Amino acid sequence: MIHASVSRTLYRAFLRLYPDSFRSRFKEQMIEDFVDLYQDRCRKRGVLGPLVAWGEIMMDAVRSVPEQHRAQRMASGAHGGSGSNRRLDSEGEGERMSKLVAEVRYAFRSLYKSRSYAAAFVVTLGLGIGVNTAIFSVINGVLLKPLPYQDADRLMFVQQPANRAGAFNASFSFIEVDDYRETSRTIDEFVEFGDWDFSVIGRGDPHRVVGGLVTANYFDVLGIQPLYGRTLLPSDDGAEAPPVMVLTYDYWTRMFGADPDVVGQTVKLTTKSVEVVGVLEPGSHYTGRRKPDVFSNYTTNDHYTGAAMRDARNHRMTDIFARLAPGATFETAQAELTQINGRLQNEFRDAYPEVFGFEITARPWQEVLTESARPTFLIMMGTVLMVLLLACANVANLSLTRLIQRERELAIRAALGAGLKRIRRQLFTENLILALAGAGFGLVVAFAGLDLLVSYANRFTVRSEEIGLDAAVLAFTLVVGIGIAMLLAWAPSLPFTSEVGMSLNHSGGRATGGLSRRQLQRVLVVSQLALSFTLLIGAGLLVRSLFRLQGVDSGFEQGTVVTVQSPNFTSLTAQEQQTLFDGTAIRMRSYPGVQSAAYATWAPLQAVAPAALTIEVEGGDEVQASTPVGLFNTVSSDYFRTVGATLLRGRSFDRDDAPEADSVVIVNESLASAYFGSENPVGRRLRWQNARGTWQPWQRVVGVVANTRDAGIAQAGIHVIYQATSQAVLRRGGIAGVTGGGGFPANTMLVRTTGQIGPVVRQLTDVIHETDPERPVDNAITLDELMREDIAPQRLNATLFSTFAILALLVAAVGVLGVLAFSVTQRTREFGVRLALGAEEGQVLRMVMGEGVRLVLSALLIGGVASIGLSRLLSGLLFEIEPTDPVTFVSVGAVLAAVALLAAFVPARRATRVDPIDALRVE
Amino acid sequence: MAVKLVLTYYVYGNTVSVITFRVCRLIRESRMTISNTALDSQPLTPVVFHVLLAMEEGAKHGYAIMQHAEETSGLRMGPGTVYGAIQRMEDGGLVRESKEAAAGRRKVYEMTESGHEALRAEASRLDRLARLARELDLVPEADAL
Repeated sequence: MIHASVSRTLYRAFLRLYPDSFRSRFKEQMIEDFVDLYQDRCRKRGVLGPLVAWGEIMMDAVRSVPEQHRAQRMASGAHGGSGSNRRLDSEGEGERMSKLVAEVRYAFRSLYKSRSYAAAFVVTLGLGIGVNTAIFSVINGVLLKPLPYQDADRLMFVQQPANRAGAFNASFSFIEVDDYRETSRTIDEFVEFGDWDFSVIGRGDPHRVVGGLVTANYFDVLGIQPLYGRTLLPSDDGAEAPPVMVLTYDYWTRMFGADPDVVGQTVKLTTKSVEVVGVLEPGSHYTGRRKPDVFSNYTTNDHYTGAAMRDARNHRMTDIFARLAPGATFETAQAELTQINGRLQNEFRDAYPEVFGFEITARPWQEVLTESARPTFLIMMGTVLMVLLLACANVANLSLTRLIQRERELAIRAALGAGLKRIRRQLFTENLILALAGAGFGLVVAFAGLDLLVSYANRFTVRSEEIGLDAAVLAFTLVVGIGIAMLLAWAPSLPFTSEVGMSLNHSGGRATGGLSRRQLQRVLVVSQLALSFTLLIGAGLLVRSLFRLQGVDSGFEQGTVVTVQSPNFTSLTAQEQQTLFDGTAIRMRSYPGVQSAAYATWAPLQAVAPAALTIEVEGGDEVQASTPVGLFNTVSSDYFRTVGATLLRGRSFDRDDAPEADSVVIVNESLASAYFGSENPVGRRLRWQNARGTWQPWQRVVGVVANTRDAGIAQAGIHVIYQATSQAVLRRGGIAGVTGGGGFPANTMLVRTTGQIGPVVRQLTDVIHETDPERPVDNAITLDELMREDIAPQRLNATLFSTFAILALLVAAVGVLGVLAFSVTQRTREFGVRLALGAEEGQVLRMVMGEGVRLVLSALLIGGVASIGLSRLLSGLLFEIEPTDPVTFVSVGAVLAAVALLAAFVPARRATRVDPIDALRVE
Repeated sequence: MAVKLVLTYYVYGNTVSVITFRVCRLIRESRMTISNTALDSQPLTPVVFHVLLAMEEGAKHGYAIMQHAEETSGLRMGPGTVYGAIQRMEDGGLVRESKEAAAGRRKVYEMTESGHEALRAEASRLDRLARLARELDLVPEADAL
């Protein structure tokens, strides 16, 4: 607990409020007791602990500090005889206290007199601290905090990438897991995990749950305890074990109303009756990219107990979590696993085709879990640090300006006998009050922004629920606040120490605030402008990327297209399912407002797992050496009309494309031009290799459609093969239903309508449930929403960055205005004289504006050079935009210059309005 | 409205605060007198009473005293309050630093004989008051047990 030791130090300083004699007698005990109290409050009140503890200490001090000082006075009155003598010897205890009170009161009064300065200080610093606290909370919750599991630092996620096939993790087969488990010495526990959607039937509407199929050791290794009942036991692992499951706390409260009696009951999970044996403690249970609702053993799923799963080495559906054995390191584990992997590849060449390029990686789980969030979050942290830096520069500038303005006041105080130490302390008190107010305001900003940030982070990580303002963040804020106050009180190395007499002689009317200080102010302003330039460049690049993304022609026609998913968790045969979907499509077409209805594997932009695809064209050249990325979509005849994809050649699927007829496919433009060049592919035949490397039967191309962005707007150039749902029924039946070459079932209904969305979804659900009441119908969303969702992370990034950058620009502009306004005020006499001697207004205007232009130019130069270096860090977040995009650089530069010069214009105009008479009267 | 309030504050606020300050000082001074003469079986302040009560179980350090007070009656005392009381009581001879329990680094305090007496006197005073309260039917039966 870093914050505990920070608080301890603060308390030690805090004790100076008490009289010396009291302090010397009880200091050590009081500190120890404070630490106990602090830790106790942190334990009991969590995040609020530090606040509660310090609140109590404040209350305690309000009561006891004055009492001790009074007691001290009475004691010295009684024992010392003449209290006044004592006071002369050393500063009396009571004196010290009352002096402190006086100092604080004086500081408040002086700050009240310059309210706008105080407000500017507090707001600028507060915004800087606020955004930093908020973003740091996110970083802490997602990237830094250990996973909420026992031995979290020894947990690994083991992956088997097939890099040449474009798969970052091909997962493992049961046989492979057994091999690793038996051979490995560096890993003491292998936990198997399978991601599987189930349908829960008979508990409310039939609905889909995310299931985790796990081995029983999952719970022991992660240290997850049951709230009710039990977790899985080793006896649940066998092939003959009865199907059982445990519910996560969230799902239990959501669907079962937190009823403890659910333990022991039987719930129908897709096709099986499964006993609920326990409910898990509340907490974050994530395993992969999704959070499971239930965990069950393998016998809840026929596929997992089937022969293919048990016996086939290349039937890879299982993920591995592994715990390092005592003494082993990630490196030794990686080395050992690589060696075992190599041996297996040699021994079972069929299961590891060389074209796939199988490898094995074992990395800390936390690293795997947060890898997609890391780059974005780190960039965000860098950004807000720049905002904080800028805020500090601005605050420094403000206080410097004020210091110069107060020169006369301070000089008088110094002349009247206030020592340097005393004046410094006064400045420190003022700055401390402002900095703490800024920190407080920052906390408010952070609290206000945190919900937004959590929903933002939710798009990048499953850990977003763990984000919260915690004590470390609070301490961080306090330290920043106090640090700034100290810096500002001492760093400018009080300018008047040696100039007291001189200042008084000049009675504050000197032409300038001294060259070096003006220089320092300019440096500060230039660095503010340069920082905001860099931030604006980043924001500009992201905004332009977003526009590029929004401008992408997805190939789908806009309009109201509703999509719902109705997964095949059912006992219907494949034939029955096809009849169900065909019938639903036909009935939906007669519903008012509906223009067309279809079903397919993937809704637009939703296709997953584009993989390497090796295609051969009949009578064409040899098989292409390159293996471009491709995907399959099994669609019904009206699909293209429904999503508004353009058919370029040939025809769509129709009634004649029966299972026993000639096998047909439709390809997209990108595949057509890659394999057929300028020739017409319609009527030609092609075939492809499946995932195990065997060639599939020849398929005749009957049509070519224009390219569509099936796998997301940013994914261009993917080859797509469309197959007819009417030909894709698996001949062996089973529950997989209507699948195509990709192996995914076609269970997404799409309806194009001119009417309302709600009634269409209800009608779809009703029609499906008439035939199959046990079928979940979910994920209702329109095509427009899908497109918005698809670029939501980019839009959020652009919005956040732009907000920060505009904030920065405003602060910097105010900085320019402030510095020039100050310089004009200081030079009032000079301008007055110039004007009196016949200078044109234009000349004066040019003088001041010239100063502004010099500031802007140096900022553009410095910021531009920095941006060229820093914008490269953004390249991962950009879409079709170079990090050094000249358009962005030029336009952002123009905006910055315009705003800064506008800010400079205000004081410049004021300079021309100087009345020579008034100016000279200043003297 | 706000302006009026501010004006009112400026006109009367000063007088009011002077009066408040004097009243508070009067109250505090009377309290101090009482606690300083605790030995003469005057009522003890709640803080002093709780410190003594905690030490009845044996020598304790400051935080243990705070915990005891919080657990027994929900009274939250900070270090300043506790050591303020200890200082007064030590000077008044009610408590002393414990010699034998100082094995650890931490200083612990224990009651003196006069501390005991003061505690007993206070306890029986409270008991008398409690009985009086019960006779006046101020305490419901269940609580009285």
